[in-house]
Amino acid sequence: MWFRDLIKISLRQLLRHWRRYWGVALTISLGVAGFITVVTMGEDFKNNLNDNLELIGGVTVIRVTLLNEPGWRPLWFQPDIIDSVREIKGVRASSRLAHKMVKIEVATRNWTIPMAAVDAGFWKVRGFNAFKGELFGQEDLQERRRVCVIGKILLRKLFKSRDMVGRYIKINGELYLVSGVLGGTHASDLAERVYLPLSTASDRIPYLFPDRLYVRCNTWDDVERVSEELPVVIGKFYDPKRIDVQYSYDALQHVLRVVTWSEFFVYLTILATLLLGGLGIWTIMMSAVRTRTREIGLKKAMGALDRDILSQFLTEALCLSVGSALVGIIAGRIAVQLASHMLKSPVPEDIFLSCVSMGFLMALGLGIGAGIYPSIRASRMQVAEATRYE
Amino acid sequence: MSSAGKSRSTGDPILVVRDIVKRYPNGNQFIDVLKGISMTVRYGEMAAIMGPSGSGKTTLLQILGLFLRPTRGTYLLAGDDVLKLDRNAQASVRGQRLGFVLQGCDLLEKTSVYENLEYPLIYTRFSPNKRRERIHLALERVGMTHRINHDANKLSGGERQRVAIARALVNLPEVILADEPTGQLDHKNSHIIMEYFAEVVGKGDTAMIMVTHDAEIARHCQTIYHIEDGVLKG
Ligand SMILES: Nc1ncnc2c1ncn2[C@@H]1O[C@H](COP(=O)(O)OP(=O)(O)OP(=O)(O)O)[C@@H](O)[C@H]1O
Ligand SMILES: [Mg+2]
Repeated sequence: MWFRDLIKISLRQLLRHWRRYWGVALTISLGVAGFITVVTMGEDFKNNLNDNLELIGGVTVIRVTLLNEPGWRPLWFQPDIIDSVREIKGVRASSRLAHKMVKIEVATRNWTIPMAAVDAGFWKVRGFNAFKGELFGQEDLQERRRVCVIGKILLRKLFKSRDMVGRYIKINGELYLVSGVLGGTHASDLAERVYLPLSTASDRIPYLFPDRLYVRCNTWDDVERVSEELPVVIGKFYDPKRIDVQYSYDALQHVLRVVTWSEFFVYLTILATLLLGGLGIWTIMMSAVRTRTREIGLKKAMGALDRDILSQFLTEALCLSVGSALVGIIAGRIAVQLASHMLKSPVPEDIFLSCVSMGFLMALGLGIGAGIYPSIRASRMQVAEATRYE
Repeated sequence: MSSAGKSRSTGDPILVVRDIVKRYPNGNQFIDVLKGISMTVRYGEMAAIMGPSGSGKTTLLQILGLFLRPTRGTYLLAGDDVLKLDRNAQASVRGQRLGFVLQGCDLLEKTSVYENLEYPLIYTRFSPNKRRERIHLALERVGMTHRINHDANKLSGGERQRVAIARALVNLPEVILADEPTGQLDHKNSHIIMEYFAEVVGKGDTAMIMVTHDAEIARHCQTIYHIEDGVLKG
């Protein structure tokens, strides 16, 4: 039999009897599409989840504190330490913080309030945003402007929730412009503070050293490793015994557990779908050997060699699995495109292409694996018995 | 095939079988369905095999069609000892030198008349661009050209049988083997079919062996064999 004829009669069989095959075809397409989508967009999806700090309970933030002791030379995060920290793999951003109590004067009354002096990156590291107005930024730090951000509770306590954005308040006797009110957190200790640019505060408040560093990791997978590397990197500058590294261990473990199980179930579902497809091919081909016995006998009577029958059945199984995989690849591409649109990140084409080839190989494996035995049985059939079969 | 160069002319023996025995195991014992069949069929000859049900007619035809190996005996097809061939070579002989009309109508499901006739050509690797012409020729012989693109399953019983015969003719076989080709047809259609056979075989380059229950149908044939108790009576 010519190859062209082989393809022709196999496809003809599949298309004319499509009712018999569409269920299996759908199953395999779904499996392949799912596989491609999950593997291609999984990393982007993870990054996207990690972008939303509140959603994952801030587990990707590590807090490093230098343990200062009174009377000793103060330990603080100098710029070269920050540079080395940023070189650690998996670190997305970092921000320093210095804190001290300050006096705020409101209508001739003085309040003692906790103050945090921070880098411009602080908001991003902690996932904070402006509830009102704006949070100060890089330019304010460079220009050492006298601006401040106040927490919500503080706003209520000191200013009776009046709109303070754009007004001036007196901190330690100097006027600061209120640029915004802090949102994105409900923790009382964070909402009760006033925030100043680190550069401005260092100039104006004596003995103020940033002894705390917040490090935000790319994903939850990086947290444990980064937290182990931090004391090593910072330890080149200071005695490791005076470096305290903390992250919310329990919350991280919880997130990791959820993630691991979700991944496990997703892959299990895909695997089960593909296996189901393979089982479907097997069942169809096995029953075909029985129900198409007369057809096989007739074809052999017309001169079909054993290998003609074998290759026809195997080609049918392969066309079914590979054809379904093709549909799955197209569906997968659409799903990937949609996901990339929703996650607002480009499709990683190299991962996509390797998924496509893997999906193809899996389909090939399914077709051959599930089709070979029934095909051999069909080809070995005796003509006399097959043509007598009713 | 070795016969390709040989001439086919009326009267030359095409099919020679000697002492064919077919034994089936039957529990601990054996039963001999065929007990030494010998026959010679010549080009241009139509031979009928008659006999009661279960007498071994289909079995004999299956041996002649190389569907089944006999327990003993020799079988020469235009001088070639076809029983010595392996499975694949026998399949080629089936495809190129024999034509079949099986017991009960056997057109393939969900295929057109054209496609049904194409299968023997596909399996014998007949050149794709000459197929249409060849199929047309075969259909012409049974007067079915007007149905060439019809769904085979939507034809009437008589038409289906004519298509089955055309399919047996499409590879220009040396021997046509037909198992009750008129079994499901009415009187009129049966005679039409037999006339087609007579016309094809009458050209002298083919022989036909058919099984039938109907003595009137058998009368179209030059030779009538009766098979009884596994033995052939001429
Ligand atoms: N594979 C087999 N094993 C055992 N016995 C068999 C086998 N095939 C056929 N037989 C027996 O051989 C005998 C002849 O069968 P065969 O089909 O040749 O009869 P037949 O003459 O064609 O009958 P009918 O006119 O009903 O078609 C039957 O008794 C049948 O049971
Ligand atoms: Mg019979």
